[in-house]
Amino acid sequence: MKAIAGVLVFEEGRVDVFGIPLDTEAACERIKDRIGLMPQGLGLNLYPELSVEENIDFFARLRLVPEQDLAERKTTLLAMTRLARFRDRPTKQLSGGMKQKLGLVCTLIHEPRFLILDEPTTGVDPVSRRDFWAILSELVAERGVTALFSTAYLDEASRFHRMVLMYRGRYLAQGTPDEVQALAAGSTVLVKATQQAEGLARLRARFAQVETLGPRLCVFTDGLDPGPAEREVRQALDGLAVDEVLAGEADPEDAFIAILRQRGLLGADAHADIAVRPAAAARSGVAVDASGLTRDFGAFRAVDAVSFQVAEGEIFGLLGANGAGKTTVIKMLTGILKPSAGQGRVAGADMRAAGQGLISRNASATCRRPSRCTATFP
Amino acid sequence: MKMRRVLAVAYKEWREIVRDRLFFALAFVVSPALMLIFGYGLSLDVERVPLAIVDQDRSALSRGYAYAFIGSRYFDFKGYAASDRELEPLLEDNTIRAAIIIPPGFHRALRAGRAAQVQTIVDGTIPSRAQTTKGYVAAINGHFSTEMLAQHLSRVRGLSVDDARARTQAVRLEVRYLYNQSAKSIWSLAPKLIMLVMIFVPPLLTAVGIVREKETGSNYNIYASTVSRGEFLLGKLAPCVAVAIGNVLVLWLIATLHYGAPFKGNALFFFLASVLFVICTTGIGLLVSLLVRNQLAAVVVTLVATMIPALDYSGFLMPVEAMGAEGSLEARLLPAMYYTNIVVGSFLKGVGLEVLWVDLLVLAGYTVALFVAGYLLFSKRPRA
Amino acid sequence: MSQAFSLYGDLSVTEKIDLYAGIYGLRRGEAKTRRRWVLNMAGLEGHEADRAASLPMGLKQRLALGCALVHRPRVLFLDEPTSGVDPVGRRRFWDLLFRLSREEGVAVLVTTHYMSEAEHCDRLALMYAGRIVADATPAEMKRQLEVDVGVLLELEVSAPTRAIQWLRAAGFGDAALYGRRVHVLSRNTGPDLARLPMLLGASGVQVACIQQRPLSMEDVFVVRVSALEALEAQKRQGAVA
Repeated sequence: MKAIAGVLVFEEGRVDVFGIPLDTEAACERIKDRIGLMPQGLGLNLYPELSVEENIDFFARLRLVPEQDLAERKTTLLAMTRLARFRDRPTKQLSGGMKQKLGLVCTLIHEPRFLILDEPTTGVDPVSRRDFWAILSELVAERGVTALFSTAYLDEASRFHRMVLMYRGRYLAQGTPDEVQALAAGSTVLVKATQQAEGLARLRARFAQVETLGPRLCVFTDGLDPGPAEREVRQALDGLAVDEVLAGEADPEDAFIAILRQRGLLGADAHADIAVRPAAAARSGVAVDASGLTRDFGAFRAVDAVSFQVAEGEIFGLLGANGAGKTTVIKMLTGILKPSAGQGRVAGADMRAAGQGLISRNASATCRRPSRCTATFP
Repeated sequence: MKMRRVLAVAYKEWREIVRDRLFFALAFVVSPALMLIFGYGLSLDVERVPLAIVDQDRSALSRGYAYAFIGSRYFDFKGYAASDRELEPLLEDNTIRAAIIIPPGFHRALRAGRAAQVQTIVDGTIPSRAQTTKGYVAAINGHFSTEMLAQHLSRVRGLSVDDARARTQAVRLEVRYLYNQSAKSIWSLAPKLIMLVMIFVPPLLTAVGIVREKETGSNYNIYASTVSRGEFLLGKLAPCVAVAIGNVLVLWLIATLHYGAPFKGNALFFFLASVLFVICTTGIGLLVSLLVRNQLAAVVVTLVATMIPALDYSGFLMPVEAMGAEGSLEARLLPAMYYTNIVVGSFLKGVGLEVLWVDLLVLAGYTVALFVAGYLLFSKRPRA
Repeated sequence: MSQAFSLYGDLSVTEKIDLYAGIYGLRRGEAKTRRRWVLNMAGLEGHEADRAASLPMGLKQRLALGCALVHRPRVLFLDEPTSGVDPVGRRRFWDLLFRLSREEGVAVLVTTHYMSEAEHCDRLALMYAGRIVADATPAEMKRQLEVDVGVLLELEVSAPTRAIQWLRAAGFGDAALYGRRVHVLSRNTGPDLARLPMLLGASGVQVACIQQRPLSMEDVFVVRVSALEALEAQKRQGAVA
C-alpha cells in the first residue's frame, strides 16, 4: 500500500496510479495531490498533543485546502463521525475508535479521489467498525471516491466490490467476493452434538476442516452445497445425539482457510487436536476475584465498581468498545495500576498488598498498546 | 514555496514542543541546566589545596615558615602531622594533596647562614594540578627566602629592611593577565560553555523531533502529501532554531550575570554569529535524523557527533595550538573550534568581525554544506 | 509485557525464551525444561535460531504467549492478543489457549474485538463506560438477547441496501448488513418468515432465502452497545435541553 501511495521504493514490478507509472520520486509527487493515505496503527499518525480540531487543521493546511472550504468540510465530517463534541480534546485522550474516525477525517479533508487505508479497522470494536463502514460507504457512494482498503477481518471482505487475497507476502486470488468465495466451493455446517469430543473425532475423520466454535462444531465441506453437506455431516455423526444442524453458505473465514488448505499453504498443523470443552466441570478454586474495582483519573472515572470472578481453568472474555475500561481493569489486576477503590485478588493474593514478585510468579500479562502502556479513555 | 504550508508545519511543531513535557524540558530546561552543572562542576582553578605540615624543628622560625603556607589562599591547611609516616594514609585517601616537612635543625642552619632544606610532597595523580601546586610552593618558598636574605642584609649592612629588599630582588616581575585580569578560569569557561551546550542541544532537539515522527508513522503524513522537501524542512526546523536562539540569550545571561564573565565585544556581531552557529548545529541534527531510525539512536549519535569531539577538539579544555598534528587537523575540521574562537573573542578579547571574519566564513560554509546534504538525502519515498 | 516485547526483535527465539526465564527467576534446569515446553507448545520447533522480529505475525504472538507462560503462571491476562493476526494464526492461538485452560488448568482473562473468539470463552463480561453491563456465558447472553429483542432472521436479497432502507422504514430499526446478507430481529418469527419476502418482493427486492439463524456474539455486542450509546445520547440531549 505504501508503494502504491508512492512513499516506498520497490525493487521489481510496476505500479501505475492515475495512469502515471510510479518509477521515480518525481513521478510519485504528481499523484500525491489526489491521494489520501491512512497508515497502519490506530491514530498513530495523528499528533497526540494537538486537539481534534488542530489535527484536522494541520492536515488541511498541509494540503492547501482554502480556509472557507476547510470550515465547511470540517463541520460536515465532524458531524458525520460524531466527533463534533470532542473538537477541543487532545488526541491522546481519545479512545481507539475515535482516533480511527479522526484519522479518516484527516485523510479526507482535502477530498482526494483515491483513498489508501491500511488496516483502519484493526483493533476496533464491532460497533465502531460498523460506524466506520457506514461512513466510508456513504462517502464512496456520494463522491465516487475509490478506496483501497486492507483488513485482517475476513467478514469485512464481503463488503468490498473487489478484493485481493494475500498470504505471507504472496498473492492468492482476486475478484469479486463471490468469485473468490467460489474458489473454495463448499458450505459451512454448524452442528451441536451433545458429546462434543466424540463428534469432533468423527467429523475430523471425515472432513479436513473442522473447528470448535463454543459449544458447536463448525465443519467446512469441500465442494458441497448446503443440502448435501448437511446430509454428509449427519451421516458422519450417525448414532450421536445431535441438537441442531445448520447448513449454509461458507463463512468467509472458512473459505479463506479452505483456499489455503487446498493450495497446501497451511503448514503441518501440529495442533489440530483442539481441546474440547468438557461439560462444565465443577471448578473449585477462584483464580481471579475482582470486587468493586474502581479507578479514577482526576475527575474521570475510567472503571466504575467492576466485580466479577474467574474460576480456575476458565477462559473469561472481557468485551467492550475501545475506552470502555478493559485495559485499566487488567492493569489493576496485575498490579500495574493502583485501584482508587475496591479490591482484586489474583491467585489468592490481594494485588494491592502483594509484592510484584508474588504477582508475577502467579500471573502474566501481554498488553496490546504500542505506546507506553497508558490507559486510554473516551 | 508555499508559505502557508511552511507555517502549518511550523505551527504544529511549535505546539508539540510546548505541550509535550519531554520536548519542553529538552527545549528550555536542558540548556541552562547543563550550563550550571558544567560551570560548577568544571573548575580549572587550583586553589585551596589541602595541606598538612610536619614541623620537626618547632622553632619560632619554622613556625613563621609554616604560616607563610597556612595563611596563603592557595592552600587549605588541614593541620600539623606528628611525623612523615602519618602523612601516607592522609595522602592515600585524599585528605591532603600536599605536605611540607620541616626538618629539625631548620632554624639553626638559617641562623648560621647556611641553607636549610625543606621537603615537599605533592600528590601527582593529576599532573597539571601537581605542577601548579609545586609552583605555589616554590613561589612561597622563594618569597620566604628572599625575605630572610633581606633581613640578613639589613642587619649586616645596616640598611633599612626596605632597601635590603630592593637589593635582593633585582628584577621585579609585573604580570598583567590580559583579557582575564583575575585569571579566573570560570570567566574563560563560561563563554566556552555556551559553545558546548549549543553544539549539543539544538541538534538533539532537531534529531529527536524528526526521528520521533518516523517511530510513530506520522512522517507518512508528510511523505504522502504534496508538501515539498524544502517547505517541510523549513517549517520543521524553524521552531528548533527559534528555540535555540532563545537558549543562547539565556545562556549569555547566565554567563555574564551569574558567572560574572566580562563581555567586551560587539553584542550584535556575537548575536548574529550565534544565530549562524545554531543554524549550523541544527543542520547536524538534520543529518543525524536521516541516518538513524529510533530516538535512542538519535540521542547517542548526536552526543558522539557533537559534544564529545567538541570537548576535546575545540579549544574548550586544551588550546588547539597545544595539540599534535592530527589533533589540530581534527579541530580545524569541526565547527566547534570556530565558534569557540568567536565566543572567546567576543567575551574576553573584545574583538569582532575584523578579526573573526574567517571563523564566521567557515561556519557559514559548514551550514550551507550541512543543509545541502540534508536536503539531498531527505526523501519522501524512502527505501524502508 | 507491553508491545515492548517486540523491542527485543534482535534476539533469537531461544534467547528470548531464556531472557524471560531469567526475568522470572527460573533455575537452570527448570528453564531448560520450560524452554522445550514453550517451543513445542507454540509450534516453534525449527525456528529456534530465527530472529524474533523476522517471524510472521502469528508465530510472534505464539512466542509472546509462550514467554508469558515460561514460569507456569496460574492466571494469564491477555489484552487483544490476536489483533491484526490472520485467521489461521488466530485459530492456532486459541487452540493453545484451550489446551492451557483444559490441560494445565490456567485461568485466562482475555479481551478481544473478534466476536468469533468471544464464542470460545467459557464466560464473558461486557463493559461499557467503565461498568460491567453483562456477565454470563455466551449462550446465556444470546438467550437473553433473544428474549429482549427477538429472533435473528437472515435474508439473502438481490439489493441489500434497498432492502435495509425498506426494513428500517417498516419498523425493523436494527436491520443491518452482515456480509452480503441482511440480518433482522423479529419478535414474531412465524408470521415474519412468511410476511417479509412478500413485502420486500412488492418493493422490488427479491428474497432468495430467509431463515432463522442462531444469534452470534457480534449481534449481542452490537445490539447491547448500540442501545447503551443511544441511551447516553438521549440523556445528554435531555441534559442540554
